[in-house]
Amino acid sequence: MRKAWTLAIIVSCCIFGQRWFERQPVAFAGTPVFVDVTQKAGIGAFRNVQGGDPNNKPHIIEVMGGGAAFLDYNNDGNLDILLVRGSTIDNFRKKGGDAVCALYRGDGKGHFEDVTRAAGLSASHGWGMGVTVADYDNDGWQDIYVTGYGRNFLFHNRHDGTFEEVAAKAGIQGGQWSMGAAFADFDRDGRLDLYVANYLDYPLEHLPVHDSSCNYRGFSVFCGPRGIPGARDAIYFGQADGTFRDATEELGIDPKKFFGLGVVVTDYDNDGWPDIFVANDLTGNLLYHNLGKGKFEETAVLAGAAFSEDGVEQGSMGVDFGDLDNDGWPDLYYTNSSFQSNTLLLNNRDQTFTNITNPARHGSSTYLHVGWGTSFGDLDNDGWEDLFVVNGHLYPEADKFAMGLKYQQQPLVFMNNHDKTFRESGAEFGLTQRWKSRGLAIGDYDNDGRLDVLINNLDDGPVLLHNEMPRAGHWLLIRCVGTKSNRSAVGARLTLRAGDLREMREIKAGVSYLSSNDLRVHFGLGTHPKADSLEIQWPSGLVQTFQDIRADQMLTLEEGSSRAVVGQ
Amino acid sequence: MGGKIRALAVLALVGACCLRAQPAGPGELEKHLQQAQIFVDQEKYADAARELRAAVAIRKDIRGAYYQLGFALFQTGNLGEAGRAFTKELDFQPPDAYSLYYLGRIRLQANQRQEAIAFFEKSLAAGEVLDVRRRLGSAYLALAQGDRAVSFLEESVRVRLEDGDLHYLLARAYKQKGNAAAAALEFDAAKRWNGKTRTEMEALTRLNQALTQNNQSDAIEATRELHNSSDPDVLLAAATTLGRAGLHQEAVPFLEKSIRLQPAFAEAHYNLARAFIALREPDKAQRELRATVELRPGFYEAEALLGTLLAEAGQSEQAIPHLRAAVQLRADSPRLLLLLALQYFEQRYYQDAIDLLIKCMSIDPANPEPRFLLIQARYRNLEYEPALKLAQETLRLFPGNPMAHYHLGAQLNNLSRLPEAKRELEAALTKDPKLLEARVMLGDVLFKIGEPEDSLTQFRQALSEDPKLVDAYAGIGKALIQLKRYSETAASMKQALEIDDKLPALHLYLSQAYRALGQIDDAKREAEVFGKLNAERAKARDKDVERKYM
Repeated sequence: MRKAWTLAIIVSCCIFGQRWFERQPVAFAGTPVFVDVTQKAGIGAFRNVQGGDPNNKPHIIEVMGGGAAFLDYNNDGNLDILLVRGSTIDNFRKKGGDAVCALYRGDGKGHFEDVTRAAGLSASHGWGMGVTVADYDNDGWQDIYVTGYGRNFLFHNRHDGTFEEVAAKAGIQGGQWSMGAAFADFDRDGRLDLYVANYLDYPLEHLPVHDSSCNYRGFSVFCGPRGIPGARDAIYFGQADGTFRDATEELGIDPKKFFGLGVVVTDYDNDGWPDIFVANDLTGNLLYHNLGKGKFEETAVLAGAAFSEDGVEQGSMGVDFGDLDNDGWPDLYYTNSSFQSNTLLLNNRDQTFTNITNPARHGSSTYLHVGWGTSFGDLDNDGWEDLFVVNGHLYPEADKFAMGLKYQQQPLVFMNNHDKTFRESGAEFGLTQRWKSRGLAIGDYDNDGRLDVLINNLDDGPVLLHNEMPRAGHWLLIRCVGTKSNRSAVGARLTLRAGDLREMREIKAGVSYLSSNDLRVHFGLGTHPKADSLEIQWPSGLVQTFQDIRADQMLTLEEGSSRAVVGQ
Repeated sequence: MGGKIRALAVLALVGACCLRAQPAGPGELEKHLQQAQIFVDQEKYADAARELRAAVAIRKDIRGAYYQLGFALFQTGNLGEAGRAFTKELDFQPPDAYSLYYLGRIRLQANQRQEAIAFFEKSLAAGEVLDVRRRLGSAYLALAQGDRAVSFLEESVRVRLEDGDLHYLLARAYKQKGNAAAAALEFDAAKRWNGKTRTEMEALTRLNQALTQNNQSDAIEATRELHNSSDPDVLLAAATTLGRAGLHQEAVPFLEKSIRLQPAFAEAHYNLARAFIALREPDKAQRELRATVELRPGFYEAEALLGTLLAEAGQSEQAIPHLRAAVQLRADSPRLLLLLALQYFEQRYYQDAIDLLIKCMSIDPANPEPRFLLIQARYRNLEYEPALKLAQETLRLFPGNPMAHYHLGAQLNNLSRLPEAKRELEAALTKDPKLLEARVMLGDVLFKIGEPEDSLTQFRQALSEDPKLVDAYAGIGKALIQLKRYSETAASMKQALEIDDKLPALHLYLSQAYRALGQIDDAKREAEVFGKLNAERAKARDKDVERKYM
């Protein structure tokens, strides 16, 4: 049976030539493509506690977290995992919350060991929400920034497998209810800066009183976000001494205090300066166009990225930029609440976008989902970026609503058809389970060239999905190390050419919903056994080009060095 | 008197028979019918019956003759044969209201109240005749069905205010219902009317006859005489008589005088309100109706009328308490239930609307309107699955109704079942190409399917039907932006803004078009207008949450 299937593929390959790889509909006949390896990997015991009772959510703070990250904190070339957890109202009041995150050290072979305590992370209590990872002090070791309710945490890497919490000392402890965060070098001075999206002004000592407005479909549900004041986002600039300067007021960031959730930073207009997109809940999204040297102009409405096509605010959550049509210009995708499709915006190359949600076939398929984490990534290594989206409703009562909704919802996988359309293939890939998902990160944890998926679920264990895509194409995994630029090379723009493929990636520290992807850059090369060229535009302005790179390997490229180091 | 008025119709029958020149001796038939009429006029009913028997023996298919025969026999007390004659008359369609009425009376005399009521109800459905409401009220009273008795007797009293016996019957009905206050008022009215002076009662009768016979001079004289009365009841009775004859302007001074003499006279305020409604002065009518319900809480007609007036004036919130009061007093009018449900819907009391519409559907199952509103109420109450189910059921019950297709299409669209929605909306438009809401929604569905060109065609066609349809303009803006036809977008949105410059989306599309055309300052200006209008819209939306009527 299996042989017959393979034969059919070979025949069709011969008939259609090289294009078969791009167009062949995937038929996996019951063999899952994304295999749930959570228990085997050793991270199954983690629980993203968000409130006391998973079936009763009287407060909005109990449904919003938490994030997930792939990182390499010990520089061993193997991805580690960080998962953020929340707390309960009682625990927060009595003991300042719970340990905000758990760290798992990966061995590159699919096993992870809980090193939270050993790394000195278990003592940091609070109500965790999101995470972003980068080497903020350019010492060559990745640091971790965890956002949370009431305060944020900056875990400075001590290079010995442990961390020191230095948020207050660094000036980025915050004090509000923080959600998404992204490191980037906004002024291109070689030091990482930070944008933090803040959500609501929500004092736990004065929780909203439940009244008739906190009803949904006749069910008493948590109050908000509507009716609760928003919290103002914050922007910080990294300084030479390892601290940050708060420039929120100076730059006039988020003056209307929108309900900030997801953040992503990309140079969307290819002018060399990183821009910021903030996905806001039930308020217009924000797009800060970087005018140079860290001055911004908010242009979301003019760019066509603030509202739905009908001009209405959406419940926007997770976000990512990616180049869906391989034209070298970043396109934007963000997830939304139910009865609002997720939004896919094609870059018009003139600082504006065209909404192609419906023609790209993201309309109906996402309409009844509440979307959270999302990320672009070439999941089948065909040279075209696909999209992974995780979902889950806000209200445990959703199952009782007669609205065609479920509390737990399936993830969606959108495979790129190479013509600005996608086909939703989640079920086809074996992803039929429903979760209450929030954070999503992608990265190749076993360095096999295929992007794996990490999901943080609400009140539940995480899910680690191993990508076992058959017939996946060739690949490259690139680690960039800045010298003049920030060490993590956040903001570096990589353009790869292989035959007729032209792919662009940008290194982002903070994507999806409250999450952080593998900082290494992944390229799928399809049938091409080598990349003809790889150009890197470093944030410093330096442009380097490498020629004829053999596929299916990991490389480390250091800024200014012409030598590509194989391996980590 | 009713019997006589009806009897005059025999002359018309005669004419009709003659014209048709029947072979069985039309001359003889005519003679019998004319003679019968004379006997009826002389109240010689046995003779009239004989002539009519002869007439129907010559020709059996004379519409009205059997009724006349039945009437004559009824008067002679020959109820058995009268009943058969009335029944025979019912072979003709549509059914004769008078024959049904007398069949009811025959059953009443046989103490068969339920059967009598059935005939009276049928008679009322066929056309209001004689004192059928009084008969029904009386019969229901005897059956201890106070609600129904009150309903019919209240209406009877309104027509014959001067009838003390009717007031007495109504008082008994109120008492039976336990409404002691209203009963006391009616007992008092009965006493008052039965004690009126003979002169004024005669003047009222003369006025009535003069108006019936269109005798202007007698009517003027009786009117003048009655206007001198200082009895509020008499003035009110005169006014209602004038009102029934369509002389509303003439009725007003009577009612105003009646109220001057007795300011707390609820009935006079109510009738004055009705006169103002007939004279198209709704504000004055509202004022009088408010006075009425204040003076007499639980006045069904006044509450219903005031609620209706307020609803028609767009004052839904103010209409609701009055319509509610009316419906609580009497919940048998589907029209009133639907009207109240509509006010609930408009004021976002969705659950209240739903409860009422379900009741309305059960009372009036042949009417699709309550279903359509219920579909929308369920949708607005976020009950998407029941809304869809109801829309499907409604289309099964009303397959030829384009609105049934439209509502199903709308619910399918809401659940993103786009190909099915498209099919239903196209079906709606096949049945009614001018159903603009269906066309605009079809445009929206096509846009969501990813066919902006086709969607544009629909929006433009809708606009050709109604050039002021801003929703169609908004659709055009959305589609053109996606198609990157920015100059067209700008031109269309400018046109649209001349119709409605408060719709935020129009400014948004114009802003985006300007931005793409490189007119940055214009783009920023429009974006700013959009921002302001959108903030107002969002504020209004935040208030637009479901409510429960307390």
